[in-house]
Amino acid sequence: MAEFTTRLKELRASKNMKQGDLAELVGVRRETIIRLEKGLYNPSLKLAVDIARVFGCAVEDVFIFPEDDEE
Amino acid sequence: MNNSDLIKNDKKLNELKARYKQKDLSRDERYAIAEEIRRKAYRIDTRPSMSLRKSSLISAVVYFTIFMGTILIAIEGNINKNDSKLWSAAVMIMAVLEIAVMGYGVFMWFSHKVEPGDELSRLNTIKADSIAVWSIIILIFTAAYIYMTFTDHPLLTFDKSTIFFSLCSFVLLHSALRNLLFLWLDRNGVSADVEE
Repeated sequence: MAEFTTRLKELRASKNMKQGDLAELVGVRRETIIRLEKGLYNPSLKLAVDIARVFGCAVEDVFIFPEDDEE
Repeated sequence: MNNSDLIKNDKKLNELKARYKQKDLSRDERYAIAEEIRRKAYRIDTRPSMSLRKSSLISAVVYFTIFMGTILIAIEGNINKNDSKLWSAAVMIMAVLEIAVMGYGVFMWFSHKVEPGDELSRLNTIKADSIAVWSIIILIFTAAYIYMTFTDHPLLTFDKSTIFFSLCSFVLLHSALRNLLFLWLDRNGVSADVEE
């Protein structure tokens, strides 16, 4: 599994949103959001896109893979 | 209007169900609609919510209790008559325990709406299923090897009753183990986290 960092927690805090609220919006369990925030779960493309849409940004602004840092 | 009427009469849900029945849908589309139906029905349902983890824990306890009961019944049929009263009493106690646990499980499942699964839970269920099957296969072969090596029976013999109890035990133990393994695989980061 590719390692990545995520800005999910930061973006969620900026919108004053709880983990449960985000989970409800993207149709997953709160446990999944917790794992995503800790970088323990590599989400499907659909979930990544759904999350990015909630925050109105691109997928690569939410999930940062090492290759993105090098560019 | 009661809960089932609410679900039956929801316009959006009925539209989704009608779309689900269309024959020109691809497998993926049908799957996505089924998922949407489950989530929509979950939102409409007015019963108190039960997490998938709690539901899995209840399932594991119910299956494991029935498994223990099956094992006790199987042993009772193969013991000396001198010990049979003791075993009969144990089977009776187990039967009462089984009924109580099953009653609790059925009550909880009917009185609560269970949180629908997501992609992570499906992934963990598949992993748990695979680990459970292989664990039981290894357990069966190890037990058979030990039995054949350290007892006076160089070969195992199977009658219809043994096969029946073995199959029942396999299914029940697999179900219990799968639910427990799911909880274990799904554990990361959950216990210490509070809603942030």
